[in-house]
Amino acid sequence: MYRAALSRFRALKGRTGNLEAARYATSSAVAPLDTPLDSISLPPPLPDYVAPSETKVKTLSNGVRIASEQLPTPAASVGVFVNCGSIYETPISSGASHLLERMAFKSTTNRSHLRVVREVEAIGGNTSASASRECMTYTFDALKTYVPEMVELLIDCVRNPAFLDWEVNEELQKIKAELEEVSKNPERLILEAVHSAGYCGPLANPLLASETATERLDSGILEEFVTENYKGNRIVLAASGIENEELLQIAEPLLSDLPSGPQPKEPNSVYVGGDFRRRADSPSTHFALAFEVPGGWNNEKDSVTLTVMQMLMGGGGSFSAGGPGKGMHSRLYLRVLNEYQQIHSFSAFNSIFNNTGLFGIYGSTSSDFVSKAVDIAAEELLLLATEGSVSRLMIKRAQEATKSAVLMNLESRMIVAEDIGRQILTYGERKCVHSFLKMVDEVTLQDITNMAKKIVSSPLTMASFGDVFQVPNYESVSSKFRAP
Amino acid sequence: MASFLKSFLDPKKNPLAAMHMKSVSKRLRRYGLRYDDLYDPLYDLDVKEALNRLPREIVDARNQRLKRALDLSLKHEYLPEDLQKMQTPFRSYLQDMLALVKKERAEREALGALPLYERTIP
Repeated sequence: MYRAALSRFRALKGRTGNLEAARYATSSAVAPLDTPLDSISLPPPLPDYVAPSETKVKTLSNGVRIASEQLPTPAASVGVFVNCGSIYETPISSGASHLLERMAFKSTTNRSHLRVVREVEAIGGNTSASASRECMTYTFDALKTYVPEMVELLIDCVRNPAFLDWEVNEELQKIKAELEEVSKNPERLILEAVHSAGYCGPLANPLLASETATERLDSGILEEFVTENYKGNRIVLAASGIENEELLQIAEPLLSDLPSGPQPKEPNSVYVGGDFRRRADSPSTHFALAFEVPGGWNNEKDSVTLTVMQMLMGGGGSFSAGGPGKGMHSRLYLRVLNEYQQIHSFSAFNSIFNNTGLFGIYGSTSSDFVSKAVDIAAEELLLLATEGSVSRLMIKRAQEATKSAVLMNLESRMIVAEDIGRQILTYGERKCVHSFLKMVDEVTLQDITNMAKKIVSSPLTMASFGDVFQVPNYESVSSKFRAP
Repeated sequence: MASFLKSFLDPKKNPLAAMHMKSVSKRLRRYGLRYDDLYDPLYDLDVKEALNRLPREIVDARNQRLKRALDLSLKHEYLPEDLQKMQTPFRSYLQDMLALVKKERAEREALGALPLYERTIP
């Protein structure tokens, strides 16, 4: 047996020549790698500098704006953004925007609800709708090859909703059930309360439909709301991942016959400040203190300063598992959450609208610690307004965190589409992200202190939920912010 | 073909059809019922779904008519003559909604989805 193997080996030896080379022989010994092969054509190497793609906007004759930005992803995201929201609700149609958000992709005059769902599933897309105070959004994302189907379905669902009675009733039942569960999510309730107590006017309209509204709303009111508010000059079709010419070719015939209405008179709201308390049997008490920030998105410098300030204060839940990148180095974490164990969560929030905004602190503690927690919150806000309390290092950290949050969010195609839509609705054009980053870099310590002083000088809005008898009096908290 | 059948069954064209319609109308009028009241939701679940979708006033009126007819039938009576003259036995409230429900169920089956409800014989 060995002799046969040896003889085979000897025969192999003759063929390969040198025996040691045969042991280490690989295919590269056949053709060396540093000389190019003849018949292969190589693709061009990637260039060193790839220009960032820009947003192209086209305005149709009835005022509809179609905007898109090309991205290298294989998926595309399309959205319809309407300049309509709870501020345009009348007392009769109160709660309509909440119901519209839920009735978003249901039966239309051309398709039944089952067919809409099946078509979305067939192309493997995701739909979503959201209603906020100043903007309603309907988005759809799927692969780039399905763009014509996506755009057609989206525009059908937005323009021709059928609002069938039985579907509307079913959603109203779900809203009623959600209202009963609201005590499970007190943060949302408190944020709503801060808006409705602090503002006098359309901004005080609730985002959640109230109980009486669920009795009163029906398909007729919804249809009236839609035909009145979904006019051409208030609608933007924004997309990311699609070329503008391609999108125009598909969307222009679908949208060009939308009637155009008058420019909406932005309803004026006045900030007055107020107090909201709701007694409930809850293990912890939740409260919020808020102030007004005049200017809103239309005052870009102030809104940038406010964003940096919110990153600076930060905060969150005391049990949130996050590393250093999650904001555990923000002021509220270092100064409050690490010191006092009874506080369950403490964070700064801001909500900015077109002409005004709110900035405040939301906290939730065990019920016996509430008055001290309210004092701590007031102290934090006052400290922001005093010179010299915030160090340059903290400001720098907040600036870097804001910039990285913006850039990381803009990597997602859905957020890019939403950004295009909202910017066009607010500013009329999409500003380049570099200008925003430059503005973040220009925020100085003095800016933050001045803004904090301006904020604290407006009336206080307080909201609390839980054991409200322990929460101190509105006057006593408000007097802390009056300059002595 | 369909229009030929329709003209065959049309009371205005065919005297036999007219006689049938008159006799059905007389029997319904005696008990104060409409033709659509005879559709049974327990027999056909499509009728149950259609009745769920109709507005509450229409369904309440239907139930009241059925209760009145049950009462008359129990007492072996007919409706008083003046009320019989006011009846409208062929005024329809269910046919359109029933057609919509059947169309939706057919579309559901054509798309390959499971049906929302299935009749079980207890």
